[in-house]
Parts: sequence; C-alpha cells; structure tokens
Amino acid sequence: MKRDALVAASFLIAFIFIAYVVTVKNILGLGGEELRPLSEFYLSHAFAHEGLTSHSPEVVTAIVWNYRGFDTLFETFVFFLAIMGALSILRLDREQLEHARELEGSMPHRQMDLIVKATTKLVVVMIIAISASIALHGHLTPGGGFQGGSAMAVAALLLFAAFSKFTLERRGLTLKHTISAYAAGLALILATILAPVVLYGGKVLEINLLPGETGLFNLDVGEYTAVTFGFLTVFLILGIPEWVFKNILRRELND
Amino acid sequence: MIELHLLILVIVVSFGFVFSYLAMKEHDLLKALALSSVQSTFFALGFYILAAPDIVLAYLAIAVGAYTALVILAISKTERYEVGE
Amino acid sequence: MISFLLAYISITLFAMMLLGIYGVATRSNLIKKIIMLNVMGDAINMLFILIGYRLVFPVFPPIYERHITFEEFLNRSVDPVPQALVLTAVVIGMAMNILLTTYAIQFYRLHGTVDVRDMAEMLRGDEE
Repeated sequence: MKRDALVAASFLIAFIFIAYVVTVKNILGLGGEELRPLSEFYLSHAFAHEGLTSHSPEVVTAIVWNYRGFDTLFETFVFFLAIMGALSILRLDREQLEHARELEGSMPHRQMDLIVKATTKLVVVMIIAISASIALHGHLTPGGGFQGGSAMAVAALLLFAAFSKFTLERRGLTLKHTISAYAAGLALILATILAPVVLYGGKVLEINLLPGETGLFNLDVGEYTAVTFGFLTVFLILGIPEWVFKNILRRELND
Repeated sequence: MIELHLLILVIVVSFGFVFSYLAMKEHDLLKALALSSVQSTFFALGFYILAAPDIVLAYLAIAVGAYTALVILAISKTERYEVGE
Repeated sequence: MISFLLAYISITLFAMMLLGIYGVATRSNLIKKIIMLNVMGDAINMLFILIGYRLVFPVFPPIYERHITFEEFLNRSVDPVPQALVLTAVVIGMAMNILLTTYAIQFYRLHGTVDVRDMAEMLRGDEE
C-alpha cells in the first residue's frame, strides 16, 4: 500500500515537472531557431578542410566516427558483448552442431513456390546493392556502417524466410564463416584506430592524420561487416528449430 | 510553413501513442507485435519529418525488419498467448 | 500555435514513455515486456531528436551539399549531435533485444514458462 502511494506520488511529481519544463521554462530547448555552440562547431568544421576537419560533408558520420569516436568504438564493443552473450547461452559444441545438422537434414523438406523464390532473389540483390551503397558512401550521403549493416541483415533474413536455413548452410553460410567475418570487421576497425599511432606517431583514433577520408571509409566498412555478421550469427543459431534443440538438450541430460 | 511539419508530426505521434496503447492491451502476442510495428512505421515517418535521414535508414531496417523477425522467432519458440490476470 | 503543437508532441511522447514503463511493470509475459521496452525506447529517441529540431523553413538535414552556400547551410541545418547519439542507441537497443530474447527463450527451455508469476512461485517453492 505504502509502495503504491509512493509510486503514484512520484508519477505526479514527474507530471508536474514535465508541465513546468515544457510550458513555462522550456528547459529542453524545444523549438529554438539558433544553433547550440557545440553543433555550430561540428557543422562548420566537418567539411572545412583546415583545422579540426574530418573531410566529410556528412556531419553525422563525422561526429559518430571522428569527433565522438571513442563513444562509437565502445558501443561497438557493447554490441560485441551482447552478441557474444547471446551466443554463449545458445552455444552448441562441434558434435552437437553436427547432430543438429543431421536432424535438420532428416526433416521433410518444404519448398516455397517458384514465384516467391524468384522475387526474393531479385529483391535480395537490390537490398544488398543498396546497403553497400549506404555503407560505402557513408561519409558523403546519409548512411554509414550501422545503417548499411542492418539493411544487409534484413536481406539475409529474407533469404532465411524464402529458402530454408538448411539450404543456405549447405551453400556455405555456416556459423564458422559468419563469426570469422565478424572478427574480420572488428579487426579492420582496430587496425584503423591503431594506424595513426603506428604510421604517424599520433594518438589512438586520431584519424585526421590518415590521408583524406580513408579513416572514415575504413571504419564504415568495418562497422558494416561487423553489424551484418553479428546479426547474422545470432539469427543463424536462433533459426535452429526448437525440437532439434530439445533433442540435443535431452541427450546432454542423459550423458 | 513550419506548422505543416509540426502538424504531420502531431498526427504521427498521436497514431504512435494509440497503436502502442493497443499493443499493450492486446493478449495475442503476434497481434501486439504487428501493432507495435505499425507504431514503428509511423515513427520512421516522424524521423523523416525531423530531418534525420541517418536515423530513418537505421530505424526502418531494424525496427520493422530485424526486430520483428527476432520477436516472431521468440514467440514461435515460447508461447503465443499472454495469460491475463 | 507553434508552442502549443510542440507542447502537445512532447507531452504525448512523455506519456508514451510512461506507457512503456507501465507496460514493463505490469505485463507478466517476458516477450510482452520486451515489446513495451521498445515502445519506451522509441519514445525517448523521438524526443531526443525533437530537441535538435530547428524552427526554420526550409530545414535541411546536417549534410553539406554543393548547391547551397556555407552560411545558408549553417542557418538552415538541424542539430547533428542528437542524431549521432540516437543512431548508435538504435543499433545497441537491437543488440540488447537480442540478448533479452535469448534469455527468455533459454528460460522457457529450462522451466517451461515465460510468465513472471510462475517464476515467483518457483522462487517461493525453492525457499520453502
């Protein structure tokens, strides 16, 4: 009872505070016409080609990977930790993976009809082209590594839905390959942030020292690969049907 | 003319609120997921109105594509209906 | 007119955030909790972007283009900092969704339920 009253009172206080903020004080700064000094600095320096520039007309990508680079770097590691946490819960060792593949192969194979398959092939090619364009032109047009990677993950999900996961794994999209590609993306990011130290004697993530926009481009490509294959890894292991998993868990209990 | 942008934003936010309320009240989880996807689509339109093309590109792919697929997988592996009180 | 519309938008977004918190607190299904958590996150992201909006017309995204002068770009462009913050928040939110969903699925495999009331009963049964 006391707890409920406390919760209700805190809600009331929050409402009063919100009304005050929005209507009287405008603390949030909604609806102004001037720029804040910080964003004026970013907007005027991102493409200036002198001083603290990052050679990028796309100010958001410049902030994400140059001005606030450490933020994004550690968010990449948070992403990595979340994916690895999911994988370590759903993990299967090598024998169990083989067993799962056998069970899935023995399952009666249902096929989508021809129209769905052909349309999916077309659409997937288009999505892959667009996502590559989003990611590789990330420093020129709207987009970047995160956006391109998530679009690419959607293309892979479409393939899962139209063809089966089993077909894709037989064609070579196995867990080992996706994890290797994820590691390659992370390695590219790490190499790019360490390149200024090794080559030019600067500091970590000081990608202004690299020629032109190489730093932003490399980081975008690395993030593209990392996000794509990070999502894909989890969806590959979540796509295993539930009865296969139950079978494996039962065997683990019996051993 | 800026009022027009804000009016579109008002419509978007109102529909988003209504659909998220419906999603909270729904006991069939697949229907709730569909309702929250409708809300996400409206919000993507809102991000476009707010001149944030970067967010639109990431948000459309994630909130309408990957997130929906993830929760459908989770529902198919657990229970479809929420038990009411 | 403009301040009224802004106040309406921001109060609706706050209410939607509170709706998300309410849903997380009162629904008993774990998957439903994840859906409501996303509603809350969307509302917060939208509010954050709204802070960086500018009431000028025409308003440009923070991307420099060749056919406008630099002063015009500075006068018309929206604030890029909230966009950069929200961009990473969206992707990290998806990664957190993956982690939470995985926990829910694994709990269902081990105990056969995703209902918090059943979990509470299990805990009580363990204590006795």
